[in-house]
Amino acid sequence: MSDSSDADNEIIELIDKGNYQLAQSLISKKIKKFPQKTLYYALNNEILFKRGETEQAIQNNLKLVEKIPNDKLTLSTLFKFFEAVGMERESNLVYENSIKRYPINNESTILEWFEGSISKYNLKSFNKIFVNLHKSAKENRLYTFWLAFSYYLLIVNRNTLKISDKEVELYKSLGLKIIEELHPLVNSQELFVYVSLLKLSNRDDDVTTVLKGRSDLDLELKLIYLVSLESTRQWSTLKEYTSKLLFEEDFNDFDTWKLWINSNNKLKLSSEDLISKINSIKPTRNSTLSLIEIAKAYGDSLNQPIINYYNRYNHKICCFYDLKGYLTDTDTAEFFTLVNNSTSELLSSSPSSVDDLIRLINNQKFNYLLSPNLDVDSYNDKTWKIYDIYKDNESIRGSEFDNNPLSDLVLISIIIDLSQDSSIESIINRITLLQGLLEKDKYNHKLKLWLMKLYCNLNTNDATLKLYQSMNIKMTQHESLSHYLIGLNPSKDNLTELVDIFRFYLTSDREIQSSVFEGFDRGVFTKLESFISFGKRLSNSVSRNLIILNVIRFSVVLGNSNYINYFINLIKYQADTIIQGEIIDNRDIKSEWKFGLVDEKSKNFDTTLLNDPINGDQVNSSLIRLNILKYLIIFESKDTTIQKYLKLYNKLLSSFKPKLAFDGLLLKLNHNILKLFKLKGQLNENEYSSSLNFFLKNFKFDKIKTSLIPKSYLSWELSHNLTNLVELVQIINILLKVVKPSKEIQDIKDCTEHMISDLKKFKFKDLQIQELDEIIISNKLSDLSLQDKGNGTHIKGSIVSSADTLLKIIQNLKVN
Amino acid sequence: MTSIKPFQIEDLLELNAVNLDPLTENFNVSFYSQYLIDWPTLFFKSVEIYQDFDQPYEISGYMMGKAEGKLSKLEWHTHITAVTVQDQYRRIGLASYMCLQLEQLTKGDPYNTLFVDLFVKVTNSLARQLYEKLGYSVYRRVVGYYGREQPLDRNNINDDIDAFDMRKRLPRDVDAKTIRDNGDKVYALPMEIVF
Repeated sequence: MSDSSDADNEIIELIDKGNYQLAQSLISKKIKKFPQKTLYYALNNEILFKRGETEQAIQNNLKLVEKIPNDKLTLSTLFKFFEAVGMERESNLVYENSIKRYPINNESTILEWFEGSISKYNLKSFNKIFVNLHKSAKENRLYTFWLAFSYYLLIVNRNTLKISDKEVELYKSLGLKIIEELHPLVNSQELFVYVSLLKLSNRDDDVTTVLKGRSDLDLELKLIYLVSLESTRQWSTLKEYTSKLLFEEDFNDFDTWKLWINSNNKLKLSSEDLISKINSIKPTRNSTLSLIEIAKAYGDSLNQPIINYYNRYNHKICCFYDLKGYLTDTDTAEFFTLVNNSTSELLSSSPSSVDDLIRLINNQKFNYLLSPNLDVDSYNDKTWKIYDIYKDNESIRGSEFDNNPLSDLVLISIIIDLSQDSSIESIINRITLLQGLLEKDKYNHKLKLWLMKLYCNLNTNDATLKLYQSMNIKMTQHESLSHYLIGLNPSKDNLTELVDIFRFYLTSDREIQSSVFEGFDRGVFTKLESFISFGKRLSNSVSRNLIILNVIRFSVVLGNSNYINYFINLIKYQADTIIQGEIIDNRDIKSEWKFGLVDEKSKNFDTTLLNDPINGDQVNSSLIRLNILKYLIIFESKDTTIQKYLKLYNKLLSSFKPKLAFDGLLLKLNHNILKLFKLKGQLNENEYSSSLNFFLKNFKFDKIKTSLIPKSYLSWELSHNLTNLVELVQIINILLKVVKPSKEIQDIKDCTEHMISDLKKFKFKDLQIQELDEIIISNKLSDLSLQDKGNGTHIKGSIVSSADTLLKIIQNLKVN
Repeated sequence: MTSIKPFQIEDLLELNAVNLDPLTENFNVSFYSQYLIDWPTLFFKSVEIYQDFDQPYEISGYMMGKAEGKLSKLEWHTHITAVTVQDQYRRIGLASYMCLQLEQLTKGDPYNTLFVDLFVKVTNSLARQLYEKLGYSVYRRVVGYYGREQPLDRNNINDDIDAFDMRKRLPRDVDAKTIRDNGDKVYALPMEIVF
């Protein structure tokens, strides 16, 4: 891959390990011996960069690039350097200049350029590289498809990449032209690239011509062919092809059923013929639903086919989901009566089978959806009545790991109640109910997600973590679900847990990058767009950044030095991407709501319910950027960089609207402290005294306590606020280590000492227990209902443990 | 109302309702991507129309398959690595349908395999029955397949960690050479079933 000697590798290894002095002395010797070899200068500059002399390293490397090196290791070192300092244009120039100067036999150099550039998922760079590769190896068929596919990627991402209409047209014709020179196409992947470009050029007619009659169409091509036949209104061919798929090839695909119906309709065939055809085959769920689609397509009443489907499938959980979409298109009075009668009959017949239970559950959902004026109390009464009938019925359970369908039904009523009252008292009440359900349905993930959500709203981080661990959440699931751990308190164990979760990103980064390369190498174009998008979505996501931030925050609060250098270096390396790039939100806030009744029209569910702290406005890109900047400033020594970051911090802060008043105050206090310590020599007298006064005036327990202490001592906000307050004290401690004593610094120390002293007197744990006990008594909750149900969750125990964790940290606080 | 769509790697971010099932394994990214690269057509998902949250659709399940083995040894076959369905869409034959789709895809060109196989826990009688209905039969009992340690004694059977290797022959195996009767009495070690 590269032309390095063992001695060169030893130097690189020393640099990677941070042994800069020895590396530099070896480099000096090498430069004396081989003054023309550019690698040693590049490595020297690498050391300068890693020692914080970024500007000097940039200047030196820019001069080095002008010499147009050709040695692969120098090229990749320079490329990585410019990528690291956010100079993407220069990083590409490293290779571009070299390729221009040395145009012969440079295929492997260009491939290294591509491999090195994958991590940025920059489609424009990919295209530039592939243009060079195509020029360099014109006879290579695969590279031609790489280039053509890169045009496709540029066009489909035209909006985010700000590509003009003129460029789009150019890319379409270039992509098609280079493929057409290679006809005939030899496999489905080549066909896929070609027809994808044809589709982008609105040449669906040509798509159908290319694909018609081919027997080797894979799923992707089949779907493209079907869509193109429809958009070009080739109804006879569409009818013929869908008939073949449905009735000869057993491709029982609902979208295909709809196209079959549509094509027959356009060809003026009667609905009776279609119904008769469907009735002549073995009925399936899709074919039975197709009878409703026929009625819809032919403008007939949907009532009877809906009722037929209901009668056939009402003992299957999917019945409600399948019919829901059709119920808005028809007069549902008859169906509504049928459902209500069914419920009445079932309830009066002492139901005991699982089929009857599922009928009752589906009926309750239909009832909720269709009732013109839903009486929530009587709806909930009926739900609990069904629950009481079945709660001890063991026969409704399938295998050990199957979810109990009854839980979904009860969960709906619990959420309706919470939507009306999401007070701490109501949350505690519902936790006891959910715990009870989970006892009999111990693998039900929806119950666990809701329990985590509710625990997140209390100071009960132990319980959240134990539930998270009990779900065996792994790999990519951390990216979509780790936001449930946002309320964790700082502790050594929790810090280790977060670091372990972060390991997923380290592994997946490498895995996705090599998958992209291998995907191109193997010409698997049908999967590449998603590989690239997946890599981009994970590289700068909300969840990833939240894990990083919490690792640093916990390290600062706990004074733990095990991980902080690594994570600070990580954010330094990715600073530009995090601060200026798009932060992508992959958090899954939907799975907990998946019981079919959540849509905007619903009156009784509040989907923003209990959104804080795990998602919603509480944590967003601005807050992530502000906190990243905070740590970058604290751990930065270069004045120019600090100034740049403080300017950005100020800009973001001025437009940021914090969800909690205390968050807003702390962001301002942090800002002023950072200015006082990190810009000391550069602030004029007025600026300095203004920042100092702001801090001394506001950093007082009496002054902040109204925003520090939420309405309820049991609310998550208290832990959150106290942790952030402690963090500010620890930040001051870190900054005090690098400033000279002065009167002003002494004032800050005194003020901080007062704060610590007052904080230690704040007996929040006692107040929490007192409030919880009052709730227990007034709600007549038995101690038993609050006890551990075998999954390590216990409200009172978790609140006490959480408070103890924080108290221990506060008791050890002091000004250094 | 199930439709079949190709699986894409980004689907991993939309899969919690399926993969939070305690019996469904979550693999690292490279495991999924390797299947997508090596056998792009044999990894597909079932999707349902779903109105909430303005989703384009809801993933109700997926099939992860591959083709491997030497034809000369009569081992060229389709393997079902994972087939799983979200709890809301169970007991409607979706898993069976996806198995049949995989068969359909590999019994002819370009794969043209001899048989389909899969592993089920010896204790999972429900799954065994489901596959038997689809035409599968037990070919052998793999001793210690789900165990943590590499077993050495093929006669040391243990219901908790043993698997049945179940097979269904495809049209290419005209003479039914790839299946056998009374396969549950034939024991093999995991190291002996590597293709």
